[in-house]
Amino acid sequence: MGNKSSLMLQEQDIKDIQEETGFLPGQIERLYSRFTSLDKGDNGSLSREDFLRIPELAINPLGDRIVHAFFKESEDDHVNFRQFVRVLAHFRPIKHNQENNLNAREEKLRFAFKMYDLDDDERISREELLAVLHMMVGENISDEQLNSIAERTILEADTDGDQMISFEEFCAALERSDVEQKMSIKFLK
Amino acid sequence: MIIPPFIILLVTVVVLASLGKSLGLRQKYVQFLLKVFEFGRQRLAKEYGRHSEDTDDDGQESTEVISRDKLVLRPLLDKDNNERLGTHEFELGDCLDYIRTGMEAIVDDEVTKRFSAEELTSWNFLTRTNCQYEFISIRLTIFWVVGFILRYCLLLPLRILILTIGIVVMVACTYFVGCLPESKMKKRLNSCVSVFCFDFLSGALSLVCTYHNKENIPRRGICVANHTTPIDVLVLACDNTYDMVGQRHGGFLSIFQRALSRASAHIWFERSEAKDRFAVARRLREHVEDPDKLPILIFPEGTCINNTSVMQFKKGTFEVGGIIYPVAIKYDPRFGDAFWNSSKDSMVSYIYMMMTSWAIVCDVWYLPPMTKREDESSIDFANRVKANIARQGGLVDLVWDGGLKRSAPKKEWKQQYQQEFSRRLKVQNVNSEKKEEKTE
Repeated sequence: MGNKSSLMLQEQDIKDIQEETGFLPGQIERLYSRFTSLDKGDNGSLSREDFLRIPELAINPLGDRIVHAFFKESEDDHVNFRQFVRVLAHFRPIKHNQENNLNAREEKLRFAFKMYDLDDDERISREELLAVLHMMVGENISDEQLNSIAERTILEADTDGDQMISFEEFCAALERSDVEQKMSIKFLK
Repeated sequence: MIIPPFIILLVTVVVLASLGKSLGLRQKYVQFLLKVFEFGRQRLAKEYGRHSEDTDDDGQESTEVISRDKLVLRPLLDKDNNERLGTHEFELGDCLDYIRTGMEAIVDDEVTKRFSAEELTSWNFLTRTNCQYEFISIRLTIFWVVGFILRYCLLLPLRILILTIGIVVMVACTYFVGCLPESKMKKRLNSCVSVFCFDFLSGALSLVCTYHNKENIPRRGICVANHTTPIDVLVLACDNTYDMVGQRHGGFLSIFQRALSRASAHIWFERSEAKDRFAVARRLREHVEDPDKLPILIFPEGTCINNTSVMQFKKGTFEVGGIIYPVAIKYDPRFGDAFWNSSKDSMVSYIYMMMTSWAIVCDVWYLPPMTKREDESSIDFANRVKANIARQGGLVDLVWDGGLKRSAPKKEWKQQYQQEFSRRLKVQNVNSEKKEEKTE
């Protein structure tokens, strides 16, 4: 059951993490096992290279953005286990009346919003939208065409006329998408 | 004074090592170990159950963290997906699938776990596969200590002795065979000598190997197998004679390479030559087309994988032509983890770990021969062979390249997903320029 590392995580830490994120102790131990196996330098923390060493993530068009989400909170460009689990907690499936402040629908939406909103100004500007579009299509679509797609998207979502997409407008635009389902990972007990 | 007892000991050891297999000594040893492990597992379940707070049912031990049933990114192979071209209007929610699959990959991906030792679900009394189990109960501790003493004080010296004698014998025999002129007798002698030497050496690891479907045993052509460790060569060579292919190594392995080359036509490459695919293919083809030569043994993955999966087969072998004999090798991890993690352990420390494990137990399946069909490409043929081997050995069949152990994935694979998304996207001005995509 697990390997050497699972006993290096203290009981108290596990309890704290369980309170904060809602993960079960068994899940936390397995996530810790994964964390240490990614930590090639045995530093107790992960760098961007550690993440991008995962081939499946390296070929994901949004790979860099996803990795960036982990580093938003850290000051020294390293992610420790608490931060690691806190980010993953956003993707816990929602069970009725077991929501906590990390995996509620609004939190999932906010996570997706932050994928676009790089400068953290609570607005998605046209440049930010273009940046993500560019990551997803590569060199296959010309800049003019991308521009028109971006403009149309903003036009449809922008209700207060400021040419940018605020968080509320973002949530409204995603009203019909099954965000809970799409932003949930099936964690096993 | 000491000499006669020493000689007696030596002779006993040599006789035991060479006969050990036929007397079934090693098999009995392995059966006994299994009983001990079972005891340990039950004991552990009792003791650990006391410490664990989980009231969940631990009946089915699993190391899986998540279950994935949606989009999983892989190197795409077929690019002609003509459905839904240019009909999808971009939405802000289009990125959600990529985000989720990226997160899933961070928690559990198919590839990175293949390059480190497989996690065991119960303990086998080796400290290298535990989480400090030996301190949980007195009885287990005693077992572990006894096991430790047995392995390091009894088995290890014996095994080192057998290894040394074995190397000497092999070098001497191959030298002798090499002195003979080319003839049928030389070939037969080479086979006898080779099998005997490898069999002897396998005593140094307490190798217990079960060979299945020996009616398919390769007599010529190319034999391909999944690769876990250099011991794969030992396992296969105990039962049949092969000409080997590989890069010229220095150090410990070079002794074997040079000795073997005296007696038979093995193909060893310098590193620089190995990069020249045509030169390699030419030498292979020459060898395969000569009816007097032995079957060639090749590991198309190109690197050691941890025996839970089979990774991409390099197509070079499958372009040469001739008959391919697939072989599946599966090690039983309970007795000692055979995987060689070359980035973590040097060859010598790896051998040391192998010689202080309980035993190496494995199964070998000889699969029916396969040839490339007229309408098949080499890559498809390679995948067909790979699928067969994976199915027989109970291994996961992966599309990924074993080279990812050391290098980053190709940019083309990310570009393929960008292309696919672009194709689905609805854009105005259909006749504006679209850059040509370069493919591999």
